[in-house]
Amino acid sequence: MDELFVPYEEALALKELGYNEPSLAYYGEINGGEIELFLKKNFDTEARYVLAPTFSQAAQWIRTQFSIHSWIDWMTREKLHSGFFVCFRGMNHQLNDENFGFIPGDHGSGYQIFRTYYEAEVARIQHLITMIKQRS
Amino acid sequence: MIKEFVPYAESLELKQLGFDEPCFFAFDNCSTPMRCTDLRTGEQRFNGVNYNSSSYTSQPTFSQAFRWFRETYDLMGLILPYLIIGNRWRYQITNRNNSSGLPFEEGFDTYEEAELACLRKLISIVKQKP
Repeated sequence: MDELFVPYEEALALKELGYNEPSLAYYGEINGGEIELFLKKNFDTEARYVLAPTFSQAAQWIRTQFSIHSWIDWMTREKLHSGFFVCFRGMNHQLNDENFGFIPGDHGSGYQIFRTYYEAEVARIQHLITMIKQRS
Repeated sequence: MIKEFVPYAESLELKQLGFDEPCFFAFDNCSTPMRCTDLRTGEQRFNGVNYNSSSYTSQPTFSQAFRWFRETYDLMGLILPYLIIGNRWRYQITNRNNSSGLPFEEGFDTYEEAELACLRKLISIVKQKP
């Protein structure tokens, strides 16, 4: 079930962008400085830890705060491997001139294809974070 | 946070369709959500606890539910902006075979309404399977 949650580096980046919503879990340090994911026993924010949103929460927050919607779809290809791909659309024309984007690949199809849904989820959040940072 | 979790009626339908996985929350017979805790330690486990039984109904997140439909029935629910009328939403159901004729519905006021409608449609599709 830890695949429900945004990885630590991305959770930290979201915190730096202002993410501070009630979350099921958080990242904290254990002995030796290792980072571990913990469940929260209550929904109060704890400033000294890094909140761990689910991928869904993170995408919803980005949609609300930065007006970028994202989704993961499936592409079936005959000559190259099939898999999941990630698209973006700006709400209120916030994204670009075409108001549409995707994670580009380097195999000629235009889209980067991910073998698993989880890989696509991670890439989606990473790409969203990059887009938001580039705006500011 | 409450928006992350499938409501009681749909959780019950998922259970009846065979959803039987560990979750962070479950409903008792009075449809009251409760934390799923390890029966030995009383602690909420990170990999969740499966409370599905005659007395309880697991309450998945929408993500868990959509993942279950994807993996069990090869049905993907997508929530997309409805571009004809601004700031409204639609859902679309696809699969890896890109089958035609899979349903979609348009014109929801919020993302959450479209998401719930999509889940209900996924449940309906599976219920109709022979």
